[in-house]
Amino acid sequence: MKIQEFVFNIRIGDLLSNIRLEGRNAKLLIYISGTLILAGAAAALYTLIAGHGSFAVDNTVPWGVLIAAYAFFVSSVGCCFVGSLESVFRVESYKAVTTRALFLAILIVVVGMLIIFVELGMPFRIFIQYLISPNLKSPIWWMGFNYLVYLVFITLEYYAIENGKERLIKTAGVLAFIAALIAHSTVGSVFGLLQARPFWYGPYMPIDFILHAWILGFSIMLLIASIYKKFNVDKKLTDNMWKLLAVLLIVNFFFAFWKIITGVYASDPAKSAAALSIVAGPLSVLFWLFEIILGTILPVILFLNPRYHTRKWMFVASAMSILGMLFTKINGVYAGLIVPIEAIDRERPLYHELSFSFTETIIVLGAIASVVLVYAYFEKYYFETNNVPLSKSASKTK
Amino acid sequence: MSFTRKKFFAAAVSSAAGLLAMKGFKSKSQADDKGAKRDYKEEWVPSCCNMCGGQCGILVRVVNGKAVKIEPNPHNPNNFSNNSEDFFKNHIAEGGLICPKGNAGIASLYDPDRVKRPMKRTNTDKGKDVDPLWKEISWDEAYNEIASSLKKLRDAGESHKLIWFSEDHSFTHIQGDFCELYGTPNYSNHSNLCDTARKASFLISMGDERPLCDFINSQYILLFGWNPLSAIKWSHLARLIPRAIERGAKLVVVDPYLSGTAAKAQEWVSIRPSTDGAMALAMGHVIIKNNLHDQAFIDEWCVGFEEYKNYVKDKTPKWAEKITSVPAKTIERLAVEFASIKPAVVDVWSGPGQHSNGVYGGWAISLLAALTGQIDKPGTIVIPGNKGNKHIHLHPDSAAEKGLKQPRIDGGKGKFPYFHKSGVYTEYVNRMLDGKGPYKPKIGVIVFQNMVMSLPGSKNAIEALKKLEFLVVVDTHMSETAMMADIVIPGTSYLERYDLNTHWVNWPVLGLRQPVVKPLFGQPAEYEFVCEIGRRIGIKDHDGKDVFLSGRISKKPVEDKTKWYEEFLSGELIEGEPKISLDELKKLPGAVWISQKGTKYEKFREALKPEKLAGTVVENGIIYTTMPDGKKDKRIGFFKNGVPTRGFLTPSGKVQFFAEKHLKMKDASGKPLTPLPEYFPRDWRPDNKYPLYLINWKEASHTHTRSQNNPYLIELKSENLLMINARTAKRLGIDDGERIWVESPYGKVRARARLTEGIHPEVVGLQHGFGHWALGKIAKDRGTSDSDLRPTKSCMMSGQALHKECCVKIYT
Amino acid sequence: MVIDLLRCVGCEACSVSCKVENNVPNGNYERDGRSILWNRVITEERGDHPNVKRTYWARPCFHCENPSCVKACPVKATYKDEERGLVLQDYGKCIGCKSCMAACPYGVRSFNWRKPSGTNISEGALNPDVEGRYAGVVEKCTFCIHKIRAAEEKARKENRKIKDGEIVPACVLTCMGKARFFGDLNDPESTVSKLARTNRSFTLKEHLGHNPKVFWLKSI
Repeated sequence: MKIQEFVFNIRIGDLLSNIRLEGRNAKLLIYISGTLILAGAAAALYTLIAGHGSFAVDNTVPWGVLIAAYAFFVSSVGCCFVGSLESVFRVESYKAVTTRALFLAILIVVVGMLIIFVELGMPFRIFIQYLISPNLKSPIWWMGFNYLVYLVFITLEYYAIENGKERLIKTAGVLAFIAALIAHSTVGSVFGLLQARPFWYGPYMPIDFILHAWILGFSIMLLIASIYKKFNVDKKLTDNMWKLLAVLLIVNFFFAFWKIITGVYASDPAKSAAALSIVAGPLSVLFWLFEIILGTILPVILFLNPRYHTRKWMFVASAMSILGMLFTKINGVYAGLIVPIEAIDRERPLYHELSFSFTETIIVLGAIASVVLVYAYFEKYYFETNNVPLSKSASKTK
Repeated sequence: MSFTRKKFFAAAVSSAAGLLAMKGFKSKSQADDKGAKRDYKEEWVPSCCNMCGGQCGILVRVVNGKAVKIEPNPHNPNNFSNNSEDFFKNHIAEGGLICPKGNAGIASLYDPDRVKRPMKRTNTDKGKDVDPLWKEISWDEAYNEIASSLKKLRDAGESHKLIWFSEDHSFTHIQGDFCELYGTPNYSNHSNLCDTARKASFLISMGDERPLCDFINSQYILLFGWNPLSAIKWSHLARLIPRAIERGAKLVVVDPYLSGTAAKAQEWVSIRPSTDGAMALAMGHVIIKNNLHDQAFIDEWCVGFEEYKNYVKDKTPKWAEKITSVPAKTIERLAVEFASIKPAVVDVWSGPGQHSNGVYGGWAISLLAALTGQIDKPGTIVIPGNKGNKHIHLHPDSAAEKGLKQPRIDGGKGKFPYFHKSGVYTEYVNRMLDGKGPYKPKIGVIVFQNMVMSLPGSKNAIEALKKLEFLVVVDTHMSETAMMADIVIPGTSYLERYDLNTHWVNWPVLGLRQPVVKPLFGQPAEYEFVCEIGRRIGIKDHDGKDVFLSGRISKKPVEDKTKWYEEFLSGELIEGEPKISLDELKKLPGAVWISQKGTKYEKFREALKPEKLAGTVVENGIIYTTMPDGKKDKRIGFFKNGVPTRGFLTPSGKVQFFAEKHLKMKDASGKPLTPLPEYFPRDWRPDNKYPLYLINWKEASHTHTRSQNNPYLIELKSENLLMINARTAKRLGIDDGERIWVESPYGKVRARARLTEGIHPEVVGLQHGFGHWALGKIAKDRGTSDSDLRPTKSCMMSGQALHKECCVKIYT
Repeated sequence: MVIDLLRCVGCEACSVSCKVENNVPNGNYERDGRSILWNRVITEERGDHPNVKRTYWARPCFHCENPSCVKACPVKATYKDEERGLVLQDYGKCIGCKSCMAACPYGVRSFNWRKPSGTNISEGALNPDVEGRYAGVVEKCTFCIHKIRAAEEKARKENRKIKDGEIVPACVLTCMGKARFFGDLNDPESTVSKLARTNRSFTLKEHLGHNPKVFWLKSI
């Protein structure tokens, strides 16, 4: 069955009645993520109607956890990079993950768009204003445009794979890969082009975002491979993915290291205060605990010892890496905004207070839950029953 | 990624922008731009502000019957300059100015939380957090109930058991008249919560309650505990002080807190609270030691210099350093600077005043001006010519006379040596609580005063008000005090009523407040309320005239209360300094009457003209005018070497370094007064248990406890933070922004900490006015009130409420 | 515009006057950063007790010659009015992405976090010359564009040029220290031009190259 047929045949009634048939774990998953999705949707709807008053952001810190979550989501679309290893770079062993990687990329980009939709004050206007009044100097405009192109190409690639159109796979694969590089770095540029925020301004953010996409791509595919037994990727491949992930994490550590060192070293108080907020200020717990220990050091250490090369530890390592990336995004967004624009102001605290509000958190959790649930559903009823452990193209070339 | 940077693109942006600005909204400005007719009617009404007691001139833009914007009235000196020369020369070119509160007045007018109808309490239980169970009643019912209660009391010969507290800048004359004709001596105003200590200090030294600084001509400005740049009342000061600095003046501010004024000063002297007097004495010591005093002025115009000189002999800067924490070197330098740079002005206000040693401290400070001869000259402290409308006294009938002969519950002049006519609120509260007054009051009328929030010891105020049999509160909002009332009468905003405002500038100026919009809920203005009650009780004067019905000028019954009051005001204007009618005043530019004579200096030197001496009496060398019945009235001068001279209105006619009168006088607690401005430490000082001074202050954004429900002002600052010196906070382990406890022996409150370097390490403090539990939806539960941390106590000389005498500990 | 730091007393009258004149929404009281102020007064404290200096920075929009907010906006809702040199906001286009707020180096922009409420002012006591706002859009100082337009219209009708000092934005009109000056910087003879040329004059964050059109005069 093709995915579009599968999608069109989903009946809500069947879904609900199927819940009864599920196992305990599956039920738990459905209930928890179902609740989160409904709560998130309600919170999102509330925000669309009542405005953004319930978010923990204000005029001094205009962007908050929703932007961070958006950055996290759109970087997670980096699954596409993992998929491209086979379709573009002909690393045959990666055939096993390509289809699911592309499917996830599409799913995540759509949910990510929904998050930004809620974040916007006047979301319905984008459909018209993006077209009739584009500002070609604006990184946000380009971000929207590039992600749209990106989405088109990965969908095309997916379509080609599913229909076994070999030539199209190659073309679409290459285009999707290029679009991915452009799109991911454009998100980074939304921050990197803001001269007003010295900690963001510069080439780091766009470059970081490409690297983060790779890390998240590998982490997510590893996570899925560790959860679904029927997703039969061989150990050689997972080891290889993990190895690459470890390398990327180490590289990322040095990216972050130098970014912070150059920040702290700067005489510009706005820049150094932001860097200090990460290593020694209000963001330091998030940074050291989640970004460094959980997100970087532990996954690398676990990899270094082959004793841990089991499904269980693979799950732990990839989950930690994903969590680490989530906090990298949160810290990344907050660090740019935490220093008051006037930089030195003793009557106010040196840093803005940052927090998550209930509404924001529930929207983010709902978004994550929706990815989890939708993927789990497709995994079970589509990928597994359709027997897509390996991509169709892979099975054909066999 | 690359951007398109072509020129034509930018051009496209601008032209598109113009178009886009036009389309999209159908706002009236757009229509106006195209030259279309305006579809609204607009007028500008001149009036006076009353967001605070400053009474600045305003112009109100009224569009289709709604007030939409308040702007400064350039014709009113009160919001330009207190110096006539500066005003006449520059006001047209520069235009007036008003403060944030004045700008925000519209929102107070249209506040949805205003009281709209008379409300009657149905819950006999009273107290904080007790729902009064208000019931809306008709105006007639409200009037009847109040008038009949008052009539019953009067008929029982207990008219003195009515206590009446009012705001002190609006409709005071008619309320004073009412109390007098009704027969109660217990009429009091706001001033004793404010600056009666300063009034006493300057009365002792130079015989004037309220001398004012001529800042713009000054070269050296020394302020003790006064914050005119952010405790804004006379908004002209915010223009004058920076302007003086611009002209080369040095501004020195002595204050435990880096106030808005200290922030503009070249030098901030961080001093321990309540010790300003000691610093002034040490400065006097230095000035005399260095022979920098103005011997000629002292010889001619002062008394008691030798005694003073003797007293300050050992008041060295070293001695003062121990008391004030100000380095001796700083005191020495400032004293020399102050005495050498002229013209110099020195002033003190409520910072040092609201402590138990405030009057003596203020006196010592005021004497610095006398030492250097800096009195009533350009650029010094000036005794203002403050004449305006005349309060025409009426003669009460015999029933009232009887009531008026009763002593005031606060003890009045007999108890407080420097009693001010505004009364002593704290004394009322304490006597009502302990029942030790001459008698117990039965009925209370409180007009636009939030006693519960404004007095030190909020709980006591609540308990005292509960003792009244019947309490009527007239207010625009359901204030904490109104929550204690039996009947609440909706008051008017200043944009809905009349008033005459004699302005506090250095020469006679009078501004008109007039209704800009009709009262929103059809409610009567306060004067109309008083008038109606007077009519319903049937109050008559000595000659049996219905004073609240009979027109002041026409002498005929005037049914319409507004018209009756307009005549009342006209009468006061014609008999007062302006000598014009209300209608003539309305037609003057900006509806302000300005004396063209301008500021006069050194008025004390003036010899009294013979025509002024007609009908005067002389007693101990002092010249008094007489009342029609021959009793002595106001003092107008004294015999100086045989020449009738205006002089200073002190017992000696001169500036007093030594107050002989004090030798025979006692304060309210029975302690003898000292004839010299001696330094005594204040009664309550920090100890191990409560180691920190707690002070409070005003900021430009709020007036007392009344403006916290104004959305515009709350948008500026959402709460008041407790300022703590950063080092002190670090020692106590308190972080910036943390919620902490502030505790005194009288209670404890929650506050949010703000760390700063701009406060003395032994002091914590906050902006006064927040922490409401009623008033309105916005004000409620916002910020901290420190009232409950203090005892209900007053200065024993002046009756000044001690808002700053408090010690606390703070912890998380 | 020129703002004299010596004369400014930090009273925030400008902020309130601006709010009333421009129908700036109220209702955001939960914390200070939420309030919508086109002209926010920032206090800066430097030094250690007792040698502390506090400075008040009353900040309208700086109407930069080279504004980064205009570049950041994806839909050109914020734009440069080239004719008058103003940076303006088109509420009808704004999608509420807040990137202009993140992009502004002076922090002068505000977002409507909720439907303007909590104020009676919506009940018709509004300035009829300025359009109202709604939740979800960014807004900022316009230098009282409606007053500028009215003055232009008047001058055109009377067939003359606008006089120096003829246009008085709300913040300038009420200023308690008379610290603010407004006029045409392109006219070398205007008061603002003269003040901007004095050696007391400076602009904020000059190194960023935005060329802000609000000049400050140093305090003493």
